[in-house]
Formats: sequence, structure tokens, C-alpha cells
Amino acid sequence: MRGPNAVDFWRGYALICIFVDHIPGNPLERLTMRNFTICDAAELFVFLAGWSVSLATGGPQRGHTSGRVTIRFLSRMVEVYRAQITITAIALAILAGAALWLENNLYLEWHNAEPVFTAPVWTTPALALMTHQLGFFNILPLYVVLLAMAPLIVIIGRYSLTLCGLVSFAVYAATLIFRINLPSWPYAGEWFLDPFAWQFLFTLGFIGAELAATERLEALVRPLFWPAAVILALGLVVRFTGYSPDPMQVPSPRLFFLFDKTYLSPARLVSLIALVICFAGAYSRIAAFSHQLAEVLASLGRNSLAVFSIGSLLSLIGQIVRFESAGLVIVDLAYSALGIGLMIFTAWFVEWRTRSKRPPSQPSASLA
Amino acid sequence: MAHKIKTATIAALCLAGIATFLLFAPADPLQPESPRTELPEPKYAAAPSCVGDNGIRPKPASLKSLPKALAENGTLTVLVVGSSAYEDGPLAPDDSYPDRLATYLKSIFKHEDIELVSRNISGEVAYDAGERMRAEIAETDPDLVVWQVGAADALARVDLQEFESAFTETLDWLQEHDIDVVLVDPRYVPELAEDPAYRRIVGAIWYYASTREIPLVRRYDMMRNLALPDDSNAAPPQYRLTGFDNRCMARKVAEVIVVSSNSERPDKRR
Repeated sequence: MRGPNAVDFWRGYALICIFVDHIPGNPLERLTMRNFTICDAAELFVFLAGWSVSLATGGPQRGHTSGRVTIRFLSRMVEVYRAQITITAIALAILAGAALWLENNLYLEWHNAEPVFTAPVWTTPALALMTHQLGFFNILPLYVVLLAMAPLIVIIGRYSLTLCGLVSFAVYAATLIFRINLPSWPYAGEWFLDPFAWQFLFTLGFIGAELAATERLEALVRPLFWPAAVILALGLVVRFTGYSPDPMQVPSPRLFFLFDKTYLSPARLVSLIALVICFAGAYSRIAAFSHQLAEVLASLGRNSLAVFSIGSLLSLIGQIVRFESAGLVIVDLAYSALGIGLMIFTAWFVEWRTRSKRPPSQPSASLA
Repeated sequence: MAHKIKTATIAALCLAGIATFLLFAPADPLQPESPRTELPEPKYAAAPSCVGDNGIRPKPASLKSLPKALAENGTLTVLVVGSSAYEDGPLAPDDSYPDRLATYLKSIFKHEDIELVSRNISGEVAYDAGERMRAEIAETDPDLVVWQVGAADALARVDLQEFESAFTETLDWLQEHDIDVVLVDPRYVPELAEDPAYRRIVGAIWYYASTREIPLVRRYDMMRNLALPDDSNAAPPQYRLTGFDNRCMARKVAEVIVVSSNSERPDKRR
């Protein structure tokens, strides 16, 4: 098991924000990062996943072979896919159970679940194909596709980071111009988080880590600190004033000028990059201030897949609890504390299980 | 000394956190807010096919841009938000609510081209849905938006004021851009018949539809009438409720659109 580090710490922070944000109406959601920046925790999570891709493949100096990289990410992709199918099945069971035992059929219609119960013959293969996603359960499908793209990103990136960035940007720009997205089925529509757009952020995370490993990142980033701070301040103003660009007023292609989450509009992407630049050095100060806090959040980040999966299910249960308790603030607070506690327990449990299975000398599973 | 400074800093941070929370925390839901509109007691209306035939009629009001669009272009683009059409599957191609609505509208507006775009924004409260809806509107450029609103907010127990603020902001935006809207309120659920928060959201939609003269399909009311036990109906109430959404919603929405667009049209061909 590796010690606490900035990537795991911020990933742990993102996981807590996602858990809280996925209980709409919870008063604590006013304190998560999306209230202060244009982006939200999903962007941070994907950027750090991209960063981890570099670490998991040995970095630029001791890069793994193409074959090993491909096998590694295919294996990880299967693992994430398995988690998606498992948590979707449990989420459906939670909704059906709530409908049965709380005697309220409305639960069967929550979050796109309705066709699963009314047309299972069509929706079951759609769930397996991830073309039908439950509301709030759409980050892992994105991650599965990003992991499928990861070998290509690593291979091109290890050949030339500039080429990797340019190819990724070209795909991103074309996606925003032509609104390219994966379709949903059997419902008409598209994926909530477009992998062709989000791959750019994932790639930027990878490029950032590769540059950091060769100590080229700091020189690039240092002059950008104050511009990034100004961007963050503007984001703060945007959030406090509630400003959002009017889609009818912006020029075409509109997605470049909106705050669209599905297609990861540039404003969201730039906001996240600015956040990363400004807070890059914050981890060491936080860790110096409270080692325990750093350790706890890093443990969440280290076990992100398990913690994310449990967190997603806890969010869904939280929505039911919130509805049944008529939105009582005290219940929200108590449940949020319990949920975060269970996420911490999950991280501890996964590490305990890993420790008890392996001899202490063996290295722990790496990030991506 | 360093330890004391650290303890004092932690205490100060905790206090600042509590103060921030108290500043931004919504009103305690235990404090009941007075409803915008008192929902009347239900009265049963016999309805062998679709409720409303002999009972409550959908409340018409005037649509302003839609008749103009029909007269000038001969085309009508309708964006249906809140319920998605099946691309494929058991209800394809004509049986889902948006597809049925398209069929009804095409049979009514025979001389015009009707394009119906359906966007499902599942689980999103009015604040988030409003933002996505604006982007969809910019992309599809509809003459009319049919907006099923309120259910996600009611289920998320969103603060009434917060809901109203997001809801009216989107209505203002639609008005600014001369886009007509037809509202559809949340469905009636017998288990939540007495739930004050659910009723407050429905009441708020009725209030704003009425004060702003926005056509409203009173799904809640119609379904509530259907839910009443009735010896003359063979199907038990819960089946009638399911049947309503499958069979009657499209018809009721089409009815409201036609009545509301005719009220402003100088040339009533239908």
C-alpha cells in the first residue's frame, strides 16, 4: 500500500463531493466544489484518472511495453465494467425494494429505471451494453470507454506528447462542432457524459503527469499561476451571480461557449485546469497541517473504484432517506456523516482484505 | 505554543464552517410553507377511456408564437422535455407518449410539417434541467416546448423557493425568446396524496401557469380523479393510472396545444 499523496488525496476529495452532490437537495451540496467553480468533482476525478494512467504505466522514464499497457488497461476496463454492472443491479434492487417495502411505486420510475421494470427484455441487454444508464450512474460507463482509449493515448503520448495532445484536441473539437456522442438505446438520446469530449481532459491529466515526471511541468505552470487565479475568481463570480451563457446568444458552434457538462464545454475544462494549477501545491500544506485528514482522504482515493461504487449506492439510498424524512436537515447531515464514514470504512476494508491476502513485501495494486 | 495555535486554528475553521452552513442552509422543512395554490378536494368523474372526457378539462390559455409559426412557415417543431421516446423496443415506434403526441398533432395539423424532438432529462431537478433544456432549445430551435416539470424536485425534496426560482427563471427565458411552452405537472401518486411537499410543488406549478397564462396539462388532477374507487369501472385504480400515462397523456397535451393555439389564430381552419 502506497503512502498518502496528492493524487489520491484530491481523488478522495472528489469522491466525497460526488457522494454529496448525488443527493440533490442535501444542504451540504452547497459546500462542494461545484458551488465555487464552473466545473465539478466529475472533472477532477477524470483528470486525476488520466494522471494515474501515466503512473500506472511506469511513467515516461520506465514506460511499459505497448503490449503490457494494452493488457493492463483492458484488464482494468473489465474490472470497471464489472463494477458498473454490479452497482446498477444493486441500484435497481434498492429502487424495487423501496417501492415494495415503502409502498411507493414512484421509486420504480426514478433515474431512468422505469423501462428496466416495464420492458426488461429490451433494457437488460441495454444495461449490459451501457446504452441505458441510470441517472447518477453514468461516470463508470465513461470511465470504461476512457480505459479502452488509454492504451492508444499512452502509446502516442510516449512517442510524442505534443502529437498526443493535438490528436486528443482534434477529436474534442470535432466532437463539439458536430455533436458526436454515443447513442442511448432503447430510449432515444445520447450518453450523459460524452467519452469523445471527456477524453481530452483524461489525456491532459496523462500529459500533466508525464511532464511532472520529467520535471518539465513546473516551468510551464509557474507563469500561469496568476492567470489561473483570475480564472478561478471569475468562476467564483459566475457561481455567486448564477450567470450562465444564453445558448441563443452565443455563436455557433455553441458548445464551445456554454457550460455544458455532457460535452465538457471549454469553460468547464479551463476552470478545472485553473483549479489544478492554483491548488497543485496545497496538498503538502494540508498534509503538514493535518496528517490524519491527508491519510483518510488519500485512502479513499487509493481505493477509488470500491469507494466510488459504494458511494454511488449510498447516494441513491440517501435520496430515498431524504424523501422519506421529508428533507429534514438534521437527517441529511446525519446521513451524510454516516455515508462518508461508510466510504472510509470501505477503503479500510479493501486495504485490510488486500493486506490479509498478500505477503507484506508484495506491492499493492496501482491506480489505473 | 504551536499546538495551541493549531487547536485554535481548527476551532476557528470549524466555527467558520458552521457559520457558512447556517448562512447557506435552506429554511427548515419542518417550518411549513404556505402553499401557492390550495389543491381542491377530488371529485370523481366517470372516465371509461381518458379522464377529462366528462370531467375536468385541461385549462387552455393562449399560445402566442405557435400560431405565428404555423401561419408563416407551415412547420411546427415541438420539443418534449421530461419523457423520452423509445428508439426501439416494446413501445416502438408509435406507442410511447412523445410518438403518440406526434401522431395526434400530425392528424390535427394536416397541412403543416410537424417535427417532434424528445429529450429525457431524468432525475434532474428544475435548476439543472433548465440549463440543459436551454441548450437543447438552442440546438433544435422549437416553436413549442412541452415541459414535464416538478417530479424530480418533489422527489428530491427541493426547497420550494429554490424550485420556484429555477422554474420561473426558465419560464422567463422562454418568454424572452418568444418560445411557447405547455406545462405538464407531476403525476398523481396515491401514496403521496397527502404529502404536503409534493402538493406544494404541484400547487406552485398551477400558480405560475395560471398567473402567467401558460397552458397547463393538469395530469395530477386528472390522475387523481382516476384513482378514486369506482364500481362502474372494471379496472382497478392503479391500472387506470398506468393506463393514463400510456394512453391519455399525449391526447391531453395535443388537446391543450390545439385549444391554446386556436385562441390566438385569426385563421381557424380546424
